[in-house]
Order: sequence, then C-alpha cells, then structure tokens
Amino acid sequence: MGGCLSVNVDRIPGYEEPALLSAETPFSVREVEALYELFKKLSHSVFDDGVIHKEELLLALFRDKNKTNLFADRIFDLFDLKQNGVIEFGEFVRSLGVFHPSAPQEDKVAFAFRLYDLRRTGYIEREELQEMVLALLHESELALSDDLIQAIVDKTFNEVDSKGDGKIDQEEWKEFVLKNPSLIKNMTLPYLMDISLAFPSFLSPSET
Amino acid sequence: MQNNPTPPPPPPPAAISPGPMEVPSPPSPPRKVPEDTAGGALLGKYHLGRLLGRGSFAKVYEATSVKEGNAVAIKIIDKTKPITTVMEPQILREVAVMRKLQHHPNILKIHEVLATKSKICLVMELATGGELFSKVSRRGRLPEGNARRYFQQLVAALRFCHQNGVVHRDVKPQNLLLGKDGTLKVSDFGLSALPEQLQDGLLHTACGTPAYTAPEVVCRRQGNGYNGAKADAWSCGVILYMLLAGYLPFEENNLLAMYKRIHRRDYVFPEWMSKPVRSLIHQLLDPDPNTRMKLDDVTKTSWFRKSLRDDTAEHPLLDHIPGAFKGVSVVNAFDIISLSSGLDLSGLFKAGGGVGENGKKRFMSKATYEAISEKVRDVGNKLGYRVEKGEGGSIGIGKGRATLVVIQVWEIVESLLLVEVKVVEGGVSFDQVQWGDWKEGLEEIVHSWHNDAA
Repeated sequence: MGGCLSVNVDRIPGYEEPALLSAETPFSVREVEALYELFKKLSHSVFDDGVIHKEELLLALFRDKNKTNLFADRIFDLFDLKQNGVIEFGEFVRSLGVFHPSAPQEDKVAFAFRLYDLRRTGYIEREELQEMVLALLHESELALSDDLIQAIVDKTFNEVDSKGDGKIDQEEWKEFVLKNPSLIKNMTLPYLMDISLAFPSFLSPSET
Repeated sequence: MQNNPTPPPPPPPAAISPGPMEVPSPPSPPRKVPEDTAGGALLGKYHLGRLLGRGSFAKVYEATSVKEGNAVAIKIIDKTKPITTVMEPQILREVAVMRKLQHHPNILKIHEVLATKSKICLVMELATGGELFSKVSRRGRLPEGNARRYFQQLVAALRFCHQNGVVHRDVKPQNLLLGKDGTLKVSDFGLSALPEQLQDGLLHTACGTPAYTAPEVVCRRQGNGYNGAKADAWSCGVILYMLLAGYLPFEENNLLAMYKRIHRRDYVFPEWMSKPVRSLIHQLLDPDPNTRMKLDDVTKTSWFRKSLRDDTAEHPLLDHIPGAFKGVSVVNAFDIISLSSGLDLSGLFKAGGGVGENGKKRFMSKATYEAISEKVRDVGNKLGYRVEKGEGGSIGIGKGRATLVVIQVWEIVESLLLVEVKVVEGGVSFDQVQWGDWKEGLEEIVHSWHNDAA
C-alpha cells in the first residue's frame, strides 16, 4: 500500500492509505488527505475515538447531536458500509466519493435509490414514500391534510411505477430521475471540488 | 528589511521600493531555480519557472501546470524554518480567506494548496501584468483617468472583502497586481503581515506597513480595537494619493515624526491634482476613524462614479450558482423529500462543520409566486439590493457583482408554496446584519417559518 509514510504515530483506528482510497474514488491523494483533516475534526467532536458516531454526524448537520431526522439516519446507515454502527475513515471517503461532482451519475442514482429504500427490500414501496413525505413535512413543521398528502404520494408513485406493480424498482427509478434530474441534486456537493483548499493538510504531506 | 519601519525612499516621483517579498516583477531574464526544486516538476503537477519575488519565509515562482499547461504563480513557504510552525495558523487563514473571496474579478484567485515534507505551496492565479506600482515607478504618476480606474477596482475589491467579513489590513503597493488586461488584483491576505508581527519574536497585533497603515492601527493602545474597514479606507486614500502624485503623502524616516504629520494632516497636494480628488483624499486621510469617509460613501462621489464601468448590470446573479433550480414550479413527492436538511451534507464542510441550518431559511407562503417575487423585489430595492428573477422559481439577490442570496420557490400543492432563502456569499454579515430587515420586510407573505429560521 505505498506505505512509505505509514510511520505516522497518531493515526486513527481504521485509517487507510490515501493512495489506496484515491484509486477507488474520484478524489486525488491530496483530496483524501484533506478529507482526513475533516474526518479527524468530525470524528472527535463528541466521542474522542476517531470514528464518526451518529451523534457526530447529526451535530455536524444540525448543530444538535440529539436531532431526530429520518434522512440523516439513512445517510448514516448507508455510509456505515460495514454496518457496525460507526463510520470509519475509509467508509467516509468511499461514500463521499458518490457526492463528488465528477462521480458517475449511475452511482448517484443508485445511492439515492438505496437511501429511499427504507426497508432495504430492493424496491421503494408506496408506504415508504408516504413515510418520507410525512417526515419531511414534519421536519418543516408543516401540517397538510391526510387527503392532500395521499394525493401527492399517489400522483408521484403512479408516475414512477410505470410497470404498475405497486413498487418502484431500480429501473423505474433511473427513468424517473432521467426526466427529473433535479432529484439527485443533493447527491452532488460542489464543496468537494475545492476540498483541499478548505482543509489543507500541511502536516500530513504526501510525496507522490 | 521587513521589520524596518522606514517608509520607502523620499520623493522625487517614482522610486517606490518593491516590497520585501511577493509578486511578479516585470519580465526579466530567468533566474536560477534553487536546487531543491530544480529539474522535475513540483509534486508532479507543476513545472517551476522563474522566480518572481522572494521574502524571508516565502518565494514566489511562475509555474506551468503539467496537466492543463496554464501558467500560475506558486508561493512556496519553507517548512523547515522554525518560524513556520508559528505561521501555520496564519497560512491557513490566508487560504481560507482567499477561497472565500475567489469570486471577485479584482481579487487574486487561489487554485490549490500542496504540501511536501519541507514546503507548503499555495498555487495561485498568475498576475501577468506585474505590480501596479512598478508601473508607477517606471512611468511616474498616472493620469487621473487611469488612476481612477485602478482606484475603482481597489475599492470594489475591498468592499467585497468587507461584505464578506474580511478586512485586508495590509493594503499596500506590493499587494496590488495587474492581470493581463490590466485588471487590478488584490493579493496577499495574511502572509505579508507576518514579518512585522513577529518582530522581536513578539506578536505585534498591528499589522501592515506604516506608510500605508491608518494611524489608529499603528498607535492603538492595548485593548483598543479598531474598525478594520475604516483602516482599509485610509490605505485607499494613501494609494490614491500615490497613484496621482507618484510619491507618498507622508514620508519621514522617523515614525514618530510621520505620525505627528498624519495627525496634523500635514501633507501637500501637488498642483496637478484636481479639486474633487483632493477633497476625496482629504476625507480618506482623516486621522479620526470616526469621521473618516467610508468606502461605501466613496462610491457615491461623482469623481468616483465618472466613467465607472458598471458591468454589474449585466452580470447575472444566478448563472454561476451551482444547482440553481430552474424551470420547475410544481414538485413531485421525491422533490419534497429531497428538501430535507438531513440530505444536505454541505454542513459537513462549513467551517469544520455545523453552521446553523446550512445558511438556509425556509418558510411557507400562501401567496402566489408573482406576489412573492414582487415582495422580494420591493424589500430588496428598499434595502439597496439588486434583485433578479431567474427562469423557474428562483430569484437572485445581490450587491454589485456578488450574489448574496438565492431565493427558491417550490409549489408543494396548489396555493401553498415553500420558499427557501439560501445565503450564497457573505453569510456572516448577511445573517447578522441584514437578515433581520429582510425578515421583517417579507413577513406579509409568510404563512409559517420553518424550524429555527425565525
């Protein structure tokens, strides 16, 4: 693993070589190093242990480590590739790679699908869509009548479910996103373009 | 020589000392590149070219990107010098500031930061026209029209800084560069103040170069703060004087004597300076920061406004906003979901995470889109903003060239609109200073505020 620099003493547990992560993601080695600077900050914000706990993600997103938010929970679950309840450095970089402006669209579409497939059945079901709409309305402290909500959900669901089998599969989702590209707008973070400026890593130099 | 408080040599016109470090000088035969960087490309990315300037802690080289082939300037800071550790926060600050300000045409852009075992490298835009002041020293004073054109750009850049909560504090000749078409580029946010700060190994919080620095900054007593924007206005006065005269208004080898003259307003206008510009300089070189002219007021004077290139009018507010939502007003259920702030990961990157609701404020409205945009326009005009309606449900709000806020309107269901106010630039000053007025102005069309936006 190109590990000429792995002599560093205070690496966090689960650290992976930037060169390795760079090869797997749209990030350059230096950008991975910048992400490491960011990761160190995030992963020590609540628990001083070098992995990101859900509280730490919530703190970063909402300034409130006890916030309940369905979608942040989903993000956390998807980032936690090993499903061990914490986000390690490698998981962080690989997952954020999907959000890179130059990451393939298919990856973004697929990520969004998994995000919305709340029960991981491989399909987005009508109840899941309804649950998510309710969650957003709740988050926005917005009360709509049940009929209205049902109408919004049904209209969209029937539009996406082109096969009419009562569930949305990956293929239908892909088609729908193609028609509504704004749906995966939040799967792209322009910030990742200049990450090495935002979190310059002077102290962990790489010679490549 | 950085610590030498002596201003540049006295008149006659010309003879302005090049700064202790920094920046492109006019083309000269290539100088020898030091051994440690000679030969191969810097980290495989840049071929180093000639040395443009040097200081005690940094050298600036011209360089070419291996991949894109474009020319850049690279400031290389030697990490092996013990002093660098002390400087690191300052370098970080410089980078953060330049990054924040990089959308202004009169501010030198930073492209990337590289680090090797022994060096920190800031890769920046190359100002091919060199230093503005080497031009003045070559040709002597500038005609009023030229001086005005540079001054307008300097003021525009500094006002942009101030709007974004940044005070330059070290406006001086070495920091004013020229782009290839003669565009002024303000550079050096932070580093140049260092040598002065570290004098005697002590941190002297007054920074800047005495000849260009406002008296209240240099003479301030312990604990007395000063208004940085006012201090920058002073420096603008000195620069304008110098552009027109070819020499500095106050020049003394003795600092004390110089500040006596500053406080007595003891300087002479050369006969060729016009009356309006004398009045302007007089108001900027006011030793009392409280009565000194503000840069905002400078832009209202007729001398300043003359042949002002107002390209702000056609400068679109929404075009460069990534993901500005266009052409959709009715949203589907997935659009609604995607509005969740739990899906907006940008909070991870803001100042190390967690800046409010990611600069977003939302409210529901039962008014029509037309009524909303009408209201935004009214409030904007009243508060002195430029308001531009986008293609879909988006409205841009800006000042000058800066797009400060994008307002996005979504139709959730008929007669119920979700309005999102997203701060794009100048977040701090907008939130703290201007948002209150906006909120009050918009109140009529608001049905309910979301979360803690209130």
